[in-house]
Amino acid sequence: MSKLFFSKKAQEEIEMMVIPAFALVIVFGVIFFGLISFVDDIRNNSLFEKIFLSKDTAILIDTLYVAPGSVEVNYPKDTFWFSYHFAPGEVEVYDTTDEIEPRREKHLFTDDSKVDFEEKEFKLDPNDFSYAEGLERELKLRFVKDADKIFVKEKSIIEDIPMRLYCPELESKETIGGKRSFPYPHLVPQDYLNDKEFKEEVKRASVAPIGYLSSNNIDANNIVAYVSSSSLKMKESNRLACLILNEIISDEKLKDDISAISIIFTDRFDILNYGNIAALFKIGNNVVKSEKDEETIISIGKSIDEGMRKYD
Amino acid sequence: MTNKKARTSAYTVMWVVTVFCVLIPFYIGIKFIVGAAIESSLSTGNLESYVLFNRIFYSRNSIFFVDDHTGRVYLHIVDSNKFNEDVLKQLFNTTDVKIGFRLYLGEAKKEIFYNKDFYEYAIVRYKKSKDYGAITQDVLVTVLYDDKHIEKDKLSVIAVFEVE
Repeated sequence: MSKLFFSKKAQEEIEMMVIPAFALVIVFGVIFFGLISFVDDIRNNSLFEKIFLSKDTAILIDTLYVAPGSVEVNYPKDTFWFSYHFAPGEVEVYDTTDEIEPRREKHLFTDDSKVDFEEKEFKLDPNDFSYAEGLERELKLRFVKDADKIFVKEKSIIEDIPMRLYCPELESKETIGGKRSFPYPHLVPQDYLNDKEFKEEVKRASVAPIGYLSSNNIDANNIVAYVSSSSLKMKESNRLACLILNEIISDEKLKDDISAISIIFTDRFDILNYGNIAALFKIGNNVVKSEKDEETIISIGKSIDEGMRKYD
Repeated sequence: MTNKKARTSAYTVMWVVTVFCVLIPFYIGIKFIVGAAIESSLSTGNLESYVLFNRIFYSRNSIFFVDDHTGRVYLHIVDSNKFNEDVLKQLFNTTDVKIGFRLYLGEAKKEIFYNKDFYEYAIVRYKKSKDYGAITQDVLVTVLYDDKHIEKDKLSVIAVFEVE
């Protein structure tokens, strides 16, 4: 038996097999643990989510360049504990809690040289983040496009700055106070827009801000103001729509349900083309949950009245 | 190489080299496959190309007439002063997307390009190859000239892009 393991030939064979096997185990072990670390990084949702967020925000910015008028959008997705860097043409997402140098996931967007893009970085201090207590901070991003400028800001938790549109001043001093306005309530069912009597009522009014509840789930958290693109009162209507949207978004009861507000010039709606100062507000069905949501409807009505008062 | 120690050392070195030659490509291959799986699940198709295509029509810095006061873009009025390649270069200042455009006014017989080299390369390939795609749109327009006279025309916009 001893000859099996202690003979010269056996010793030779052992040396020829053990040493290479040992080398094999070391190399395989190094490579294996390297792979495990890589897969673990993905499993922790950090790599995939960073790539997703960089791409999603870049596409959102690309879309802002195309959007007509002024737009503010509250970014609806979870931003996790990542830090963000927005620069002309690129978005970077990284994790400052990485123990080694944070890996930055970058995605490019197409910028327009005539539109200023303000560079901004939102960096999380790793000391703010406690693994034991869980996520302490989540960044709420707001994307703003105003005329020839696009910028990103943080919706502050402490100081809640509402998004606002920039309403153009008019050369003419025409006032609307005292003029016949479209009768209360301001929110009507969508099928009223094609009703003959309703249209007659709108035609008789000098000022007609009208809201309707959208049935489209895609715009559930948006408010869009439509203004006629061919009416003689287009500029006045634009100003009125802008002031009313600013009042709606400043209302404490309404603003948390609103992700985006915008003004669109269109010829789609007959009721905007009667030569009066008119604006049609499409209200998302997450803002006003139903036609029986009286409290929200009254808040919108008050905002419309306040916007009309500010017009003068 | 004839003595026992030399043979053992050579044998060991041979094994280590074999391991590196087999396992390192294996490691790189796994990383590549996992990376490709992530890219595939995050693919947005040709969404970016469609968004850029719409920039031609809806951006105030494109070829169409813009009301200075309201900022509204008149989609059926082409401003002849803006129908040039410099406008397109500024509109798509820096981009990662491989895309080319051709804009053609039929009556005026005027055409402009963005990324002409890529356009000419891709336009002959997109029908036969899945690597390229195209979007086309024709619209009837009015062209506004410097001396305030207007002409009816037809605008053809073709975009060709590399499929993601």
